[in-house]
Amino acid sequence: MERALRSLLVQSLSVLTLCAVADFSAGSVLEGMKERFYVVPGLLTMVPPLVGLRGNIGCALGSRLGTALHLGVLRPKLSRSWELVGNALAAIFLSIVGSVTVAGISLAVRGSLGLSSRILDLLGIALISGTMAGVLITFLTIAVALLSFRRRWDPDNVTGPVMTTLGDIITVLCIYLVVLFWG
Amino acid sequence: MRFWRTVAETYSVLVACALISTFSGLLAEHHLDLFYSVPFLLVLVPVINDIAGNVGAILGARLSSALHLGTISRGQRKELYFNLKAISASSLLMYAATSAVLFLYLLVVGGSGKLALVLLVSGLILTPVVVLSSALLSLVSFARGLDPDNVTGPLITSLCDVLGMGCLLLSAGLLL
Repeated sequence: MERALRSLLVQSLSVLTLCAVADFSAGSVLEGMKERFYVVPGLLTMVPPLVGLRGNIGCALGSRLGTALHLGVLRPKLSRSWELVGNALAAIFLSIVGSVTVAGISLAVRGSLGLSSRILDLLGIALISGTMAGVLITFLTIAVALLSFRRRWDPDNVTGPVMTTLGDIITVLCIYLVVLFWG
Repeated sequence: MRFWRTVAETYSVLVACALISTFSGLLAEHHLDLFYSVPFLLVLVPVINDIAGNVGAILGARLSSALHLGTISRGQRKELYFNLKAISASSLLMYAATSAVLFLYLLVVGGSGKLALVLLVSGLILTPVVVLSSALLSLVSFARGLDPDNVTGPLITSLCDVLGMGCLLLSAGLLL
């Protein structure tokens, strides 16, 4: 086989395999909460955008940290530098605002299609689970970026796939937990 | 301030993606009875969507690099076709392997093997759709002076949520 083709297949397939394993776990959590989707109409509508949101925020944070580490603006250790704190705050802020936005979009789209939804339930579930997942994922992204850079791996190659995958599981788990206690 | 610039730039992409993904959830909720009667289909949702999303994102990133480097241009299509073929092969292999593992798992726990077939058929329908839309997004955004790195990645993952859900429902409808 051609060398370029082989390295492409090996690298992309190993990432894809890891992700597929994680996806089965995220899917099992979804399966476990199937009754809840009947109880709270609109909940299932919000799941894909909420999950995608967290992946995007984690990826953007990871790639910004990767760039800062490569440029030498950020040292690979925990510090109070604005490069680290500012980026973390931006990610958490985006998680909170983004979650409310997702709930708003779901409500607006469902409303315009004439579907009923429980506004307060959807807003509350999105806000609490989104903030929980956002904080967790922000800290995890920082840990993955700093640790991989210390081990001389390129954070740009690691944080993206790792965060989208972990983001899926963490977000679905957070939604599950919040819905469980929501009543 | 940099904080607000980061927030503003990321937020606009997030809103676009959230809007697209909402339709995936809406599609799922519309077929809630199917998911309720065959709950295992819910397990397949992240698997199908994420394999496709990853495939699309990897292809987008590779095409973007090639476009920036100039190895893909008007007269030069070899690199483009190589990527399309390699990524399609990668994607099909991935769906086939996941379906095979799932089939073995279902044999062990005594589930219906048809569910593995649903995954395989979804992958077969989805692969050409994702590969073509990712390539199209990259080429069109580059031709319009946008950076495909910023456009294809986030948009293709959201688009795959909708396309993946559609393909899952389609193949479940055909097979179950």
